[in-house]
Amino acid sequence: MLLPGCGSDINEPEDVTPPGMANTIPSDGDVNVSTTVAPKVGFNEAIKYLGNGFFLVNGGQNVQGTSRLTEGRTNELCFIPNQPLDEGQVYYYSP
Amino acid sequence: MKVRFTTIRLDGSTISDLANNAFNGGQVIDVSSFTTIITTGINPPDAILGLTAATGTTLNEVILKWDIPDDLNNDGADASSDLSFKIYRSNQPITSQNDINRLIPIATVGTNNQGAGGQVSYSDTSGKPGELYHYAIEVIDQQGNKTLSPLIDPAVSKGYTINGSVISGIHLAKNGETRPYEVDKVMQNGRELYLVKDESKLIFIIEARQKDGVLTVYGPDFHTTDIPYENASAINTNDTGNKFVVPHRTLPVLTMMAPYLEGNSIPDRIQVTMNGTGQIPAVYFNLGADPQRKEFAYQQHRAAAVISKALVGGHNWMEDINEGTNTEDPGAANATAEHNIRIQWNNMMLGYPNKNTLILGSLHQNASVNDKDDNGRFFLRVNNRASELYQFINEYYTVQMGGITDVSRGFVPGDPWIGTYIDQPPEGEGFPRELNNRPISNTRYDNLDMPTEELLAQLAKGLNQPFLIKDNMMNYKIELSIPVKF
Repeated sequence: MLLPGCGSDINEPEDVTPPGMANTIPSDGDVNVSTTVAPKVGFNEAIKYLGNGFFLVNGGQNVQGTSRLTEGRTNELCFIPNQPLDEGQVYYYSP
Repeated sequence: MKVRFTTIRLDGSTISDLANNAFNGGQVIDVSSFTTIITTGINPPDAILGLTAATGTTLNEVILKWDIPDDLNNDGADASSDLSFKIYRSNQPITSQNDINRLIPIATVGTNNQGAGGQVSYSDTSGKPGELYHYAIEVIDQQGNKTLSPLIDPAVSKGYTINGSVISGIHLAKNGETRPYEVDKVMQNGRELYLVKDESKLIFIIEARQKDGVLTVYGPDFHTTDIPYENASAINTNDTGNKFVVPHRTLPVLTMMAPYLEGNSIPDRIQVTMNGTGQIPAVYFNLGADPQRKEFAYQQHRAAAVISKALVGGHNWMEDINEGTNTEDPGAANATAEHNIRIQWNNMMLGYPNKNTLILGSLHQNASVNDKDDNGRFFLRVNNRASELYQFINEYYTVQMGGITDVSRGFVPGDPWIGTYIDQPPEGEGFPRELNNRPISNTRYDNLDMPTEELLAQLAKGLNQPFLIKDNMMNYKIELSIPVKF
């Protein structure tokens, strides 16, 4: 008689579902965000991160900074700008 | 509408789960946008538009006006009502921040100084008359953001321009420094005066005899022949086309008047510079004299000049003044009673312009154009107190040239002149004597036994507004001219 091994997953289905985004900090549409914010993106599962794939874009230009997995977490990326964010580019929309 | 936001963008090819399933199919995607905090005033104010500077109406005045610039906050609100304006002034152009770093603002004003049209206005009267000034305004918002707005065209401050009047007065020059008696109507050594076309007219009188000074008049179209002058044979001028130079030790009297400039393409500005190491001759400027009366003004200044010459140099002034008293008022036909020409002698003076001359200026209260003798010459009435003074002088001084014998009639040819000579004092006794109660004991003046202090006190008593020069007067020059009002 065979007993299932601990940690054995030979009977588990293969994971073919891509990771999903659980939340962002700041949230979409947030206003009055501090210019010293370090934006974060949370996922619904642990992720592997190759780096250089988390951008902040301000006024069409990439913000200089670094991105990595948040320390102590496997499912969250954070972006650390080199300098505080600008108060933003000003866009004029014609009515 | 204005918005600003920052976008979070992920490159799915760099993110996967532990089973190597790529995020978002490996595609780049914007996952979120947010707006950073809104604060006001991160933007500097706009530059000032409509900044102008114009000569004012009061002495020294330049009037600045400008429009209030926009100062938009990031949310689009206008914060321009909170702007302040630092005003900088210089004789040199102000075009950059570096230029104002060496300057101190003459004033800081807010937007509440609004006048017509909503423009901010500032009257600068802290400068000097007739000076060419450059201005710049630094606009500062509440957050300290600054924008510099230079004034493109410099402005000339209000000079001694009194329409229809002749500027004149009593001035002293000593060792290159000119001291005004009443107000500074005499150009300082080394200074420059700018006169503005159509606004300023120029008449100056220079008593440069035996003085060490150089008078230079600049202008783009300016020639020696434009200038009428006396004693032409004594003048050694350099006509360089746009510069008229009067060297030192040349002419006793030089009178230049606006009409001669007007007739020769008067430049936008006439620049006059005086330089020298010794006594610098005083220069009188007549700014804005009514052209209809220019001849009269000219003649009056000639009279003033010869009076000055007489006082300083000991000329027989009655002979000289005849040159200047044969005057007519070209504007008389249009003159009203109010505008009758009057000569006002406001001051009296006492001084020792050199070692051997004692000057006693007699100034009476008023003399009108009708105060002429039978020959049409002006005479100067002496008031009673002055009469007493001269009687006093006659009594106590040995008067070489004589004293006033008929003060009620005034000064007419044949009368002794107004001043009186005394000889050079004994060696070691310079004029003026100190007020030390020492009697004047020169044997030439045996009848003078009054202490100097008392003498001066008596003189002061007889003078309307005595002007006593109390230090070494040997290097002083005293000049007197006649204010004329139309």
